[in-house]
Amino acid sequence: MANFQENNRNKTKIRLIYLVVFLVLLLFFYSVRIILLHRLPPDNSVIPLAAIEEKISIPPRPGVEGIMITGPVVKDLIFQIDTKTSQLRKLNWNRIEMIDKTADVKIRASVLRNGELEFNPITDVISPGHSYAGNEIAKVIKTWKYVPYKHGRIYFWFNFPSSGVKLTVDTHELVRNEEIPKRYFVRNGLLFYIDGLSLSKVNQAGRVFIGE
Amino acid sequence: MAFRTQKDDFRKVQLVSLIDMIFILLVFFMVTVTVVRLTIKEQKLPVPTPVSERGRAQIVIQLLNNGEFLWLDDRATTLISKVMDTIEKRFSYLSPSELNQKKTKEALRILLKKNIFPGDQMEEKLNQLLKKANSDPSSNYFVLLRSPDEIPYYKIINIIQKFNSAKYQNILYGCVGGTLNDIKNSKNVKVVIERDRNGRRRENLQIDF
Repeated sequence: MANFQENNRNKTKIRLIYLVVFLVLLLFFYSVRIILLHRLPPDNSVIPLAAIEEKISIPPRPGVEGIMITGPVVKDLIFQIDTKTSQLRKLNWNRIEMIDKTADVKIRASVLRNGELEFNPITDVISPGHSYAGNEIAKVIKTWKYVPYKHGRIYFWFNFPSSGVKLTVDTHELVRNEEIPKRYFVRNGLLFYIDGLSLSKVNQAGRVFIGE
Repeated sequence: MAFRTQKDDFRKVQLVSLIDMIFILLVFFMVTVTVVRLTIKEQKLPVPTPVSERGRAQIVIQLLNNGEFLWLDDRATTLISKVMDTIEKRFSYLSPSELNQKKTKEALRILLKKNIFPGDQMEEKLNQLLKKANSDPSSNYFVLLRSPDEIPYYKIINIIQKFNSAKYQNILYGCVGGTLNDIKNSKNVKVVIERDRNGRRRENLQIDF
């Protein structure tokens, strides 16, 4: 009988131990939960009293306070020779080179607001000792017309004997026409119309100095 | 009548129901802990939360209560850009703020005058967009659909279905509540130059309500 009682007590003890273990586990999980809940921002754990409103405010969303409509691509404007003009003539480099190999011609011209090129063949064409080449070049250049994006001074230096740069175009004094909206970039394109001259022999951003 | 009494030796704590309950609580807490942990993880996820910024789209469709609709796309941008240039030249003597007001007022007047279409043209406009989208798989269109609360839901669903019928699924859309009055009473309308993802400069129409 005593043995039976002892056995029973032992069983009760074991059950109590189980109970304690469960309780400890329970407390552990409960405390972990409490800690995690405390870490959350107050909105997510507690419903604030302010949330109980009669009118629901519009949630923030793109398009509620403004819109942005994507428009067309703004293409850059290219300031270059207007090839659509009827009088346009091409300068034949090889022909002039054949006649005068050492020709050195500098031309000071003005690009008008309408794109036309204006210069005085006597005072603005400087070609000491090479008047034939000077005249020939001046005649052709007179027919050149640019697209009306820029205006101002433009200088050309035709340097036939050079082994490097044979043509220098100075565009530093050109300014964009005021009528062109500011959003457009005006870039320089082909500023000359010459046959027989390689692009590698041209400097379109150079400086040309003409003595007054 | 003598009742049978339980002997002290056989008395023991009845733990069965208690253990059941503890089990249930244990499971409950284990589950809730997981849920709370998930919530914390979610907070760290890089999910963009909606903010009150300008809705960016290629096309904005504003539905009107009377069945008409306002359709704004890149043509509207080009038109307003020209209007802005003209105003800038004509009223260059105004102060910058006055000029801005003038531009906004005139831009809104022209936008509303030239871009509101009768409801029966919606189908045609959507078909044109669909045709464009289907002809070029590489192009993507984002449409912002604005609608007042009074518009029946099926009308919006019909439009969305049209977008979804694009062969290459290249018409994306967003829906937002709003009325024409928001646009009419805009504080600021201007054309801004921005670079797109490909680095190209674009002329965008900005409307701030």
